[in-house]
Amino acid sequence: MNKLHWSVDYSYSSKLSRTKQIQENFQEEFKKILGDSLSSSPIDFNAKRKTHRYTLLPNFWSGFKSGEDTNLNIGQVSIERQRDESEIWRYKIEHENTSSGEALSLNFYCDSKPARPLVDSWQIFTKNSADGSYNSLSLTGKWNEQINGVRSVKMTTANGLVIVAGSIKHNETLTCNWAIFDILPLLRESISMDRLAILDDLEVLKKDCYIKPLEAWVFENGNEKYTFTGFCVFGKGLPPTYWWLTENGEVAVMSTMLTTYVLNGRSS
Amino acid sequence: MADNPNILFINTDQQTWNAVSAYGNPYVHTPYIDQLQKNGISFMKSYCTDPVCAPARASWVTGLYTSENGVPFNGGRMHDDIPDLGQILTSNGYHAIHCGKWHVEDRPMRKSFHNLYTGKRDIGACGGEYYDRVSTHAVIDFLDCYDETIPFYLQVGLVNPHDICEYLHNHEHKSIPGPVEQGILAVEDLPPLPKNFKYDEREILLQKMLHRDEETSIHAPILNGIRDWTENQWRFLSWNHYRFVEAVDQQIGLILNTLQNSRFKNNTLIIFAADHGESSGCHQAFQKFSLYEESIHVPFIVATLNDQLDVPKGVLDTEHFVSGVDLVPTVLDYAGIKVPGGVQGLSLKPLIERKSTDIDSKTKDCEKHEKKTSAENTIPWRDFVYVESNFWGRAIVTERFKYIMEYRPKQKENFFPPWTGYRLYWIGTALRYSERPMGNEKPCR
Repeated sequence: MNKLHWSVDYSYSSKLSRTKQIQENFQEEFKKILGDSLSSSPIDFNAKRKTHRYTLLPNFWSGFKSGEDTNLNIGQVSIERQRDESEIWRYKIEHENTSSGEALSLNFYCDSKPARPLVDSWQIFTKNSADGSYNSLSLTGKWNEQINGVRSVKMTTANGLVIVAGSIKHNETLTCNWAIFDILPLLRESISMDRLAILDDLEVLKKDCYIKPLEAWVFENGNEKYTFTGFCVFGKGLPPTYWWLTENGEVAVMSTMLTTYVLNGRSS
Repeated sequence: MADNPNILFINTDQQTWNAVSAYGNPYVHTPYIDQLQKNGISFMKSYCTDPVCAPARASWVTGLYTSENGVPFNGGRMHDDIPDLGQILTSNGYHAIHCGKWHVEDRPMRKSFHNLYTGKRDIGACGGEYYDRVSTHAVIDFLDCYDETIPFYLQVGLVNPHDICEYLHNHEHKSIPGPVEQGILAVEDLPPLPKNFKYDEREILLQKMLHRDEETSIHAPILNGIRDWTENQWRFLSWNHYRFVEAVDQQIGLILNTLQNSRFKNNTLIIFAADHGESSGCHQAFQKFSLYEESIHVPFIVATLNDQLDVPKGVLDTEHFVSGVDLVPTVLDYAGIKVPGGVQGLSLKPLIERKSTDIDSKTKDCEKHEKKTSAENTIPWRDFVYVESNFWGRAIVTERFKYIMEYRPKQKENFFPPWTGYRLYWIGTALRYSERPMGNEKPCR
């Protein structure tokens, strides 16, 4: 079986036989999910409405699942966006991690410029299915007017408690990590992007982030071959994440330290 | 009781004492831990009781050394008859809440604390990426909604920068190019090798068994996977560790910014600490376990975001040795609760309150500060700190020396694992001023 790229290959062996058996399924599971989704029709790059769905595979088994659970999947994310007549993209993200127990819903707007800057206000809703008295959280975020060339990012709870997420210079671009799925296709000609500010999950401000191109990766699945374009995104408080795009400009795979997001469906 | 302060104990996992930008480390950016430093007193000679998660945390909640409470290693069993901090606080009128990583073996957290959030399946050793942001959400929700009339003690166990362990595990069975080869960083973007990167080959047996020998190292596959690392790959380990430190600092920022505008701002004491350190390439080692300084020397800050509690601002205490066993008596002292007999630690409250007026709170000149505190300190205090490492070794850290006593097995094959038929033979006391700290990253020395 052809190996996966090192940045997404977590089919490592382990001292524990049970764990070994499960993790050896990683490559098989990865190829099945991605192969099935890539066999469907790609979405028109210029479509006004598109949705991509990803399965979350754990990069490391130990500690994140019950010992009796042999299903690799630890969640999913749906990235739905729609462009309106004023060239503003409306995003709706539904993210669920069955290991943390939290479901996350995000609603936000981005300008259609290449760096997809956040505009207007945004909403964060969480719901916790894990044990504990924490049930849910609702936050509304917004920019504040610039003062002395600085704009602050604030969130407000349903009870009116204001939380400052941070501040950036008025001429800096602030985007959301989920908009990177649309930023990268515009950088496919091996262009990097420096000093980007990312509002991670619309709440954690990560400044001085970089997008750097990687070597190409030919993903082989049976008789099919796909050439992926790679990027690495990292910055302050952001250890490297690895992104792989299809020739059509869709993110096929994205890998963080603990999770590999594998494309499992798309629609427009 | 209603006048007693709320206490917020924020802890990180696997953060060495100097992985903080406020202490002069230019390779990591921690504005929110720095905020705590500016708003409180940093105990610069703070040590964990044991450089592994469960033992260090067991000491946090019992005020006892790990050889006393039954948790000298991950998987130990805490003695049933030892009361923990949650039980003591709850039975004395505090609302004691736990959130995040617990990892105190064989002590059911829910019997001692109210459970705010601990993951779908209680958080084990790792998973900062999964759990820390949810823990922060839970804390935000708590600070937004808590309406009891009694004060709270809230301990928040954030997992990062522990995810650096997964970075290392990632190298067990595959070859990963360095950052320069990947094309994402230039050599000059990486932190330099620590000055103590080259280890002393005469190091004691304990360090050898933990860090060098594939037969005995608890992480032999990692050891094997990184054996041929280039210097840049070691530097990239440190670079990654700092990114995880920054990630957890950002979560701390959200918690502090929530507290800042909450109704609890003016009556909440904040304690910040890490359970143990991270070698991050020092002595050409990774992770923790051993008695090297980077494993056992941790940050410890007591701060407030207000001017009502008597906590000096911006002070670096470079004089007093602090231990993980000090958390229990310190919390109980602030809560106005008598410390149970047998607790080993000392309350830091007298040190914190002794001289907010004596200390020039604006100065960051440690030398000047040391002179003042040496002359004016009349509070009896220990002049060493004691650290254990599983069954394998003991350290006494003094101002000038670190004395390490190691246990040596009669036969090497009996050494691991120690709880399966081990026999320990005390050979002698190895004296070694074992290492220098990380040179230019050592704050104010």
